[in-house]
Amino acid sequence: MKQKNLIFPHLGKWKKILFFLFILTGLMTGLVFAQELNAQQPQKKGISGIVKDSNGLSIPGASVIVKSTTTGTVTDTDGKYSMSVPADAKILVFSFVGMATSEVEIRNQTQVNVTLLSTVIGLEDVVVTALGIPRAKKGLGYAVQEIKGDALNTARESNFINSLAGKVAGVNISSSGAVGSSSRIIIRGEKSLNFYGNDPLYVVDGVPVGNSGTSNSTSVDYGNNASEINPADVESMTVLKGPAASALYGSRAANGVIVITTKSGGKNKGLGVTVNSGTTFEEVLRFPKFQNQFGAGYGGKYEGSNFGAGWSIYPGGVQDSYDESWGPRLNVGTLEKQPQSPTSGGMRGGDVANPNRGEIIPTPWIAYPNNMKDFFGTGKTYFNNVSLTGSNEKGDFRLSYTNLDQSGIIPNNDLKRNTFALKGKYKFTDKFRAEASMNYVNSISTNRPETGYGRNSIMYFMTWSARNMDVNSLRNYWQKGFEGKRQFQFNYGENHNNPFFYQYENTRGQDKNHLFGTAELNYEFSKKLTLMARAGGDMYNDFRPMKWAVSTADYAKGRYQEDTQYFMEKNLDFLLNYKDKIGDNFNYRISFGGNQMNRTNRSRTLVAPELLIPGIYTLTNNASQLERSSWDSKMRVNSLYVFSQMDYKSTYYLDITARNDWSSTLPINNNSIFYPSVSFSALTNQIVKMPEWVDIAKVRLGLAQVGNGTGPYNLYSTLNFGTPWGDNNILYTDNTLKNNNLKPEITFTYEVGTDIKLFKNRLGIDFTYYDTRSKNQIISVPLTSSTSYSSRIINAGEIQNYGFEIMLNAVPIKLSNGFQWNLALNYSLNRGKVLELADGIPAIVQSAPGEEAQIIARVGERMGAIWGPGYKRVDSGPLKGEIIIGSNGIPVATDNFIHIGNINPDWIGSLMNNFAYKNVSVGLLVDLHYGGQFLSHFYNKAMGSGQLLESGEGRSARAVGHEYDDPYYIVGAASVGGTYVQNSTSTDGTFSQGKYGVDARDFHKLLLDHFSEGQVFDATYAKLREVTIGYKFPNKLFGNILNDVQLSLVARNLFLWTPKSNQHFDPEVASATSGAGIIPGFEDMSLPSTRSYGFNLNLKF
Amino acid sequence: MMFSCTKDFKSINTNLNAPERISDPSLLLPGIIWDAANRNVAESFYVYGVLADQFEENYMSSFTNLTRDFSSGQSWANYGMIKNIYNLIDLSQKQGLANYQAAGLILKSWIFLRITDSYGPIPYTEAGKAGEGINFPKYDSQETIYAGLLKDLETANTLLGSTTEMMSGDNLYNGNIQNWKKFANSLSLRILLRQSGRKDPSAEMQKIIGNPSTYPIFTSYKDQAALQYLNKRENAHPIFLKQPSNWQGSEQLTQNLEVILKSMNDPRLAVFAMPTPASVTAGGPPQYFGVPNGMQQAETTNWNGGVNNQSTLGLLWAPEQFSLEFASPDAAQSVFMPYSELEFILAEAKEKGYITTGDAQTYYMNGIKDQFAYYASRIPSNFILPTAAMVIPPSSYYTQTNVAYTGTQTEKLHKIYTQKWLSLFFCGSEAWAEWRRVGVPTIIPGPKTNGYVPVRLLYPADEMLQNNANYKEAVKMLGGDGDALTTRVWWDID
Repeated sequence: MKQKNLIFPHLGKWKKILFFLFILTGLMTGLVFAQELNAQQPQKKGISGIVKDSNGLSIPGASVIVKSTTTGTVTDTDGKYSMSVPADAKILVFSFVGMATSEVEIRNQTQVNVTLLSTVIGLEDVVVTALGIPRAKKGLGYAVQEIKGDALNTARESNFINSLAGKVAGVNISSSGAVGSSSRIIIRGEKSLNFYGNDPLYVVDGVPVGNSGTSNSTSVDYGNNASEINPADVESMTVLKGPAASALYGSRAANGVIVITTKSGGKNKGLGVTVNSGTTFEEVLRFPKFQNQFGAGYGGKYEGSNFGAGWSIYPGGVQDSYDESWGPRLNVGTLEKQPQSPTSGGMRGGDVANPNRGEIIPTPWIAYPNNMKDFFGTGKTYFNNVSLTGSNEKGDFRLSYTNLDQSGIIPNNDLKRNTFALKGKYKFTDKFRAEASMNYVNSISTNRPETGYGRNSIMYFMTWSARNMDVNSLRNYWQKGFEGKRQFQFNYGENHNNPFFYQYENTRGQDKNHLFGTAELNYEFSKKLTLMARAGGDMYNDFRPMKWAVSTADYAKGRYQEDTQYFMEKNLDFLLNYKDKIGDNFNYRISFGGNQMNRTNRSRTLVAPELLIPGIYTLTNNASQLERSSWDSKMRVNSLYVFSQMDYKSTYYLDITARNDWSSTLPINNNSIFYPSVSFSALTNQIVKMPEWVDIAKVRLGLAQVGNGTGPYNLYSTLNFGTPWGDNNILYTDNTLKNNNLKPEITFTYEVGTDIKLFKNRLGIDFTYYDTRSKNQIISVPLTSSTSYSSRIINAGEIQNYGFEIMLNAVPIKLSNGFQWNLALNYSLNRGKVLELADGIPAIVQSAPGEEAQIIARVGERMGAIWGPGYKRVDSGPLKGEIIIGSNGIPVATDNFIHIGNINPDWIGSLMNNFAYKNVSVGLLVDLHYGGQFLSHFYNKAMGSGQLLESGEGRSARAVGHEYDDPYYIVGAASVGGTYVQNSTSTDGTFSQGKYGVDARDFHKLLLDHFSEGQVFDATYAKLREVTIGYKFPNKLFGNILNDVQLSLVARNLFLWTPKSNQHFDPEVASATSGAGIIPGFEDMSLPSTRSYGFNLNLKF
Repeated sequence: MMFSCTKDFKSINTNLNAPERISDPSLLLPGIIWDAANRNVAESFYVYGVLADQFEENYMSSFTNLTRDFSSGQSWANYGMIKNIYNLIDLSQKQGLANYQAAGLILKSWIFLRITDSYGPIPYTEAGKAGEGINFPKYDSQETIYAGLLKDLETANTLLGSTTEMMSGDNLYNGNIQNWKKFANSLSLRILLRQSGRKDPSAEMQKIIGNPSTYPIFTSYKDQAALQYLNKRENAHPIFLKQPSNWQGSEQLTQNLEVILKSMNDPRLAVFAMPTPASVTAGGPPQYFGVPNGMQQAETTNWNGGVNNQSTLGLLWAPEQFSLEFASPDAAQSVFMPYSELEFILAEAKEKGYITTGDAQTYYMNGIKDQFAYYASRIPSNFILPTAAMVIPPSSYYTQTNVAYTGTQTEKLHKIYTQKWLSLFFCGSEAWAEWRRVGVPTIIPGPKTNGYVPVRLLYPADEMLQNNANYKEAVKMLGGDGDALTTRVWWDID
């Protein structure tokens, strides 16, 4: 992999042009500025106050101007201002970039305090940083990006993580599509070779909330923990992207931190009531396209009889056990006996268990073009939130209740989530304050969908069915006379479950109780010295009952399973702060703190493998021996840290942090890990003279070293319990070799950046370049199978991630009539590179979810590379580069795996436009993922089974009834006596002349099966991610009862654009589900993605 | 205070779920045997039965699916059990439990033989030793491996009975030391004959056959090495829980097997295969028809007038879901080495003069007779077709020209080879190995193949990737066409 150009590696010329166009659109529109003019001033009086944001955090640098004059000032670092104004001044105008300008009547006041509300995403100038400390953004030596809760709570996602898509530069999200399913979020690239070790840390109100493995089983995605964060309770969210920002979180900081602050009682005196209600509808966004010319069967033959049920009293038909569409031409007026056809016994042809079924009465042999789509319906989501707030001078509180009720696009797939949030604080004395927040989330699902390649997943069924199948005939999913005993199937030969039967009878339930919260005490010894002590916890109990009804393909006698997952993480913290200044110009703060984290996991699985009495699902209704498994673990990390923040003349800022962790999971003599960081920033516009249209020109530099510990029990190998043989217990030697010499992983990073604000904050540009090296990775390296072990755990490898992020904010148009256009652009490019692996190991297979293809880390190459078998090609002569066709008519595979593509995009960009005019606001978010590849399992199989659109093309070009007569020729080079000749000389769609031919099925199937190269798609996509149209009703309409009534029309993922080469799939959900989470880059019978639209109503009483 | 708590770290990080070490070998032995037995069945079913032209499987029979990826799941996957075997040998040796140690050595030999016979040179001396720091095991020549296997079996024969511990957890022989000895020595004879093209086996074979008290060998199917599955779902014959579609849908009797069995009127036809659906529906005499391997799918499915006129594999091995009434979890066994094979080994050895003891015809006839007795003993009493009685042929079976031990030596050997091929039905890779060694019966590659029947499997992809330097050495050692399906292994000389 050569990388000539650092900034645009791998980008061809036209890709660069596209990139520049993307940036320029933002810049040019940003430069269309409508300037305003100002006027004069006479006599004076003193006035002062403080400017805060909606979090109650002070806003330094806000401008305060007497309306229609040039008199004004800016707030200091504490958000305070003080100035003299003309005695006749009536109105003060407070403004700040990213905030709605506020006009306040002065009247007789000498103290005017205001709260400014944000208008633009990610542009607040005070942000919450590590450990929940609010800081002026201009003083930070590293990049952070903040999102306001409102931006997440209008066009909502039921998975909180997905709502970040397109809103934060440097963040890459992939998901699996189904209701409540999990997402994978990677910030600034994958730093760990451990495929699932790249999740950021989530911190809610100062306390980490676990987001570790979803512990899926049987291919069911139960969602990740962070997905349950309730958007209605989020005040703000800060993404600490790099270790320089997150170093204070020590061994959990390597992958970035998402810091969430929940809403508090705020400023309202007395009682405040807020109601937030939304209804959205979901429908399929992208669905594979199918051929509609050929029906079930093989070689053009089909005659239904028992549909492959060898056990039935009815004889076999002709090719009626085929679960593929290589049969006769459809829609030409013929009749056939089909599973859905009526019988002389008054049943369906497929009621093959019933001895009185009778003769099948042939029905028209026609295509059901929507037979796949008809299985999917409209999903519905109802979101209702009520919150009560109140405050007085002693304290405040907020109580919130949220109900999410969602039904998916597939039958019997739902999610009901109830969330209670309580937050309050109270000042006992001026010096002593207590705060607590508590969140309880109960998620209940009667059935979560299964994905993956197996008889239980819907897209698998779609692959192995036929174009003449009427899916509606399967809705009555029991065979006549065998209700509750034998399912009605479209195909008994390959024994595919009826998808309706599966959805309604074989449910994967969930009842999860999740509790997280914090209690905090603050004592102020003096204005300079404060102490905080905090206890926080995150706990869930996840109960998952799973049912398999009798006659299920793999479990004829039924089955019942109960999984229980218990997780508890407790954190104890203290933090001592000292704040002072030396002289007038030097401010500093020194803090000393500590943390102890204890984590417990428990998992239990109990299985009744055969039901005694059908239809009753308990562990005692068991005809066989109960199967059981369990896993418990504990771990602890102790930490101490110290950090200081200094600034000189509010111009130069220096932060130094140091943290030491001691982890129970590492060897005793090697369990101490030190994490330092330094960051520096300077406001150059205050150092050298710059044009007056420069508001801020900041440069910054951050350096940090963070780490990554390991999980419990990675030091010593064990013998594991297996299924007993009769009464004899069995143990097996662990397949993984553990390692008692482990060291912690170390990630070193630097980042440089600029933060520029121009034209009275009408244009802001934030640029960051970073370089991260992660060493001593704790990885499970695969051992070759002849060692008898599958892997060993070692410290090895070095991964480099470098890239840049651009955030651009602009207010291109702002008219005096109130019209305003805000624009925010995010762009990020990351390259992860494997610098080093362990000795003697040139490559590590990180993940192998699909058929042959694997995600392989190779020294010197990009992270996320997909490797697999390709087509062997002619290496010289006139046919150079052509696929070699063997004498069996199919392509020859390469001797070695070849590089197929990369799961990571080349770059990600997004553009947010907000238009506001009086009471109306419109928001449009476009999200673009450029580059990268994915493989499709569905494509491979559905082509081979003759279902997909392309598989019908060659056949339909031939005469009716003769589609299968002559062989088909795969284009390529056929070897004839040592020289190559073209294998197909005709490209009229029939491929009728050539050297080596195959039948129609092999023509499509064998070109793809076992050839990863043939299964690859470009993962580029653009999405109209979010559209909101809001109308704020005038307050006078509702008298004194209601205020702030806002109605919004919302839509998400309204439109998807992909290159022409990909007409079947949404790359965002083209992922495989594994026990530990999502694997992007491998479409593995993924459910189709959805678009949603609906409305949202906010009321305040 | 919280920072004094690091002293608890050791206890916090002590695994709550599983022991770091054990001392009781009976906790390891049954798992090893069970895993080996299941692989033996699965590999017969999916690949080796097809390579030996006994099972027709359209997916497999063009051999294009014998990829590197596929390869890692076949005999090579037996490497996974090696660490357990070493663990067993190690902990029994340390405690002076010679019987367990010997069982470990025998299983080790049996497993390594399976692996090397399919691939040629394989990691042997350095295999399974990642715990000792050997992460890139070198490959040994098949000659070296064979010598090692024979040495281990000799050691095992000596060790067995030298201590007095009862072998509990022995699901192969239920602690019968004598039977383990028989297995060790019979297996030695298999190995000696297989390498006979390279090394004269006479002295070693005669040493065993001439001294039955020191070197006992199998005497009937009752002491042959076969795992008896249990009448329990979790310990059932592995195919019992399989999908019927993977059974009747894709696996048929081959035409080759059909023709050979029919030519001798062999009652095993009704054991190995089920009658065609058409003949069952018609209610007349049961008909059996096989399908040639390696045809286009269309030709396969239309063969002999369609699937209603084709025979799928026998009911003895049928999955539960195919027939809730007849399928049995424990009627079929996993045969590691059948007694009849031993008799055919001895018949050939006597015929070729490797041994002086006994009579070739007697060995040969014993081998055939035992096959019928064995299958008769396996047929459950509720079977209608076949019943146990149907499996025993009339005496005329043994006197017919195709069976009687008559003719030239070449003809006699051909009969031995044919009967041996039949006796190795569903015995892992053995029928394929014997076909490679002696070329009987004739197997004609189907039109959908590239013109050959593979004589070895490719090395798995992970060996090429993770153990590349040693892999390259192995390819040199292989010679022939290199790491190809057409390169002959060391003992496959013709």
